[in-house]
Amino acid sequence: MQIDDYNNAAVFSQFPVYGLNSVQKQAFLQQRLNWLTHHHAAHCPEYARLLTCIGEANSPMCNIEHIEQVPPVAARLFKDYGLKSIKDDEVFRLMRSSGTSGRQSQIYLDADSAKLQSQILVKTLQHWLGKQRRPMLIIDAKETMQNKNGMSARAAGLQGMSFFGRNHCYALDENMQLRIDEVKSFIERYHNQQIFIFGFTFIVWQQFIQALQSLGLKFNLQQAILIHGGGWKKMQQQAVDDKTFKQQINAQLGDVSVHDYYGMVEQTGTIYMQCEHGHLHCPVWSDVVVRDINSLAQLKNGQQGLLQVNSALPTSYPGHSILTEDLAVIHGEDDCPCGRLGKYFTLHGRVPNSQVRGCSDTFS
Amino acid sequence: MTHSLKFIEAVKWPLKTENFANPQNNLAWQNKLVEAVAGFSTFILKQAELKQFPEIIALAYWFRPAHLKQLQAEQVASDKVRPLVGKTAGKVFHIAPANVDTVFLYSALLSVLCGNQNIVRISERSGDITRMLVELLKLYCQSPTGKLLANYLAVAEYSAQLENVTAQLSRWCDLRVIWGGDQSIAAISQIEPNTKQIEFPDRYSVALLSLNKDIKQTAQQFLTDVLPFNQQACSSPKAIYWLNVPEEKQQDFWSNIENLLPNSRNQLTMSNKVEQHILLQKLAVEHGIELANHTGKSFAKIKSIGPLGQCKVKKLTSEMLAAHSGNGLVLQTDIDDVAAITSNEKLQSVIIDDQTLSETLYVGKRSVQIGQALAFDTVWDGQNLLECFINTTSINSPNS
Repeated sequence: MQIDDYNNAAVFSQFPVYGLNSVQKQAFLQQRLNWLTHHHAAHCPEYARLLTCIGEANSPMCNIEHIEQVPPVAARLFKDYGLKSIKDDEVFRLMRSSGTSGRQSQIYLDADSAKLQSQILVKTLQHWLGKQRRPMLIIDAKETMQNKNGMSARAAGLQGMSFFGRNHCYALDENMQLRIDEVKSFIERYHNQQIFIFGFTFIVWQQFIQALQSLGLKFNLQQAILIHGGGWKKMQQQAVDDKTFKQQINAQLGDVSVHDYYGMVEQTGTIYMQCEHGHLHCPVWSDVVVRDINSLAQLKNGQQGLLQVNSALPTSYPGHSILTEDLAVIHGEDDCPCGRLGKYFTLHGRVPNSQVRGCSDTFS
Repeated sequence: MTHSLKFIEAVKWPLKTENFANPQNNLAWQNKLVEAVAGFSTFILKQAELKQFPEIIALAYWFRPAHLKQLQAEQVASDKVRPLVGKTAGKVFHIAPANVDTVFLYSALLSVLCGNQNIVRISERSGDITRMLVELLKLYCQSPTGKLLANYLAVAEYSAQLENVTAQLSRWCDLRVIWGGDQSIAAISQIEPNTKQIEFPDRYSVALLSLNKDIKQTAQQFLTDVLPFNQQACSSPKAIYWLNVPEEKQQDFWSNIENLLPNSRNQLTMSNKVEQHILLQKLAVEHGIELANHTGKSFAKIKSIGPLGQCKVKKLTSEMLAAHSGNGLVLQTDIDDVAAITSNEKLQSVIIDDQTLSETLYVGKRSVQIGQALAFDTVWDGQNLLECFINTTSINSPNS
């Protein structure tokens, strides 16, 4: 393993997912993130202006000494500006966030970034799922994937994840109702294999688990794994927490290990998986910082603030360091009882949106 | 011709009495009408619990009996009012902004005084203060003095997407009043395009300070101007131009602001703070804003002073100021000559702490003493509202 081979994706994509300690990670990411900052400053004029906002043409932000100093871009900027570090004719895929209200983020990928993202996603998920593809139950509708207006984040998530399964069964119909016969026959057929279940948290809860409950249906799965993501906002409205969610899943489905994940379309490929101890984990290609809401100063472990996510992956758009509007607490680094190295954290909701956006907007 | 005010669409009428639907006599500046409006002011000022809402108190104070008597004397003396009295009241449709909670009532009550029947459209996104004002109006209109007001004022609430409703109300009225922003004005102008209208497009305002007087008092006055409406009113100062003010004095100003803030009522929350951080980045990305006096040791950040944020920048352009979305971020820059303030169609108020400066200022639609930026005036944004409302037919229609 060559830690200083920071610019060779073929090398660093092979790093062990949770296998570098803080010193090794700093050695890799500091160089990689600095390289990315230089790269985006040279190829994305909007990003360059953000760096020179501190009033120096050759910004010292391009040469930070510690990975926690990398300058973050507010996630909102990807909604308002088409930030990209590639030419128009190099755009291979345009990804959009799943926002139901307001503007969506637009993320431009070239062929290389798209490839690297999927490689890293594969590496990360194989850590949890193993290399063998498993029979896969998707808690969504096949129709979700067929959106003509570019790819929605939900569809991208489903498509990305379906790669890890075989003999896919979609548990819901086009009206998001339970396809009970299909689910029953799928589970009968594979009940003694390690089934992989995937879905978005709220859909899993409301359209699957609650539907099974109202039908009085229980299954007895063996060593199944459920991976779910998409946020807890709607779950909190129904006062369902992580613990209740897991209990109800085990009550309804049997032996299932349940793992939440956190990720965003602005850093597709980099995902934070929840371990057996309820912590979200940074993979080796990522690092997180929590900042004070008022001063944006870095906070200590245990303190809650705005989450900044740094990723070694984005080369086609300046998204290697993003300041989210999510609130988080970092609990530690390299010392989670699950044994995985890297920082681990929990999420604590989003900063509530201000109601009125711009100036005197009477028309909405 | 009368138009029905019945809608199939989802229109709520937080305030509308049965009598409103009938044509009313024009009572422009007649005693009983002035008393009905002034009575609302008295009604508000009597309620101690409203003292915590400076925007509402400012409105009530503006419509106080003594002030209205003075306006009445001026208006009755002019020869425009008399011919109108006894005729049918004009009809005015006001489209209120969602960001400045009280402006709709200034405009609507002035129009009532000028003898018109008024319908005010509020948005379902309107703020708590708007809702509180509508509740207060409702209560007041049930009182003996308030009854008359209800014949001249109704409040409708509906989504702007219901263009049919806007069209129908536009046909009902003689004059349409649109309180910004630019996009809303453009969109609404497409609906019944021949409707006569006055419009208040997006504007920004700035402070020009010399700190020649008591700094604590100036700081307090600045807070009076910057805090209401989350700094989103067109008269809210978005930036401070320091006119030959040494750095230590500026620091002193901000220390005073910091000390005064805990006792200054404002609605700024955690989400406004996040908006401040995002705004600085947007101004950099879109307009190339550059921080002054930066050490280069960290990325560009605002300096947080309680719920407000501030940052000193090398240069301010009109584009930056026009793009400023409020939320409590105060930009500042040092200048040695008032000529450094760029003139722009969108520059509304220049807020000054030294009266002598007003003589040398040639930019902006008005200059105003610090602490008074949000005070309402019958001439607003260069338009004389009393003249517009007195004779609603005198305004040119867009196609004439």
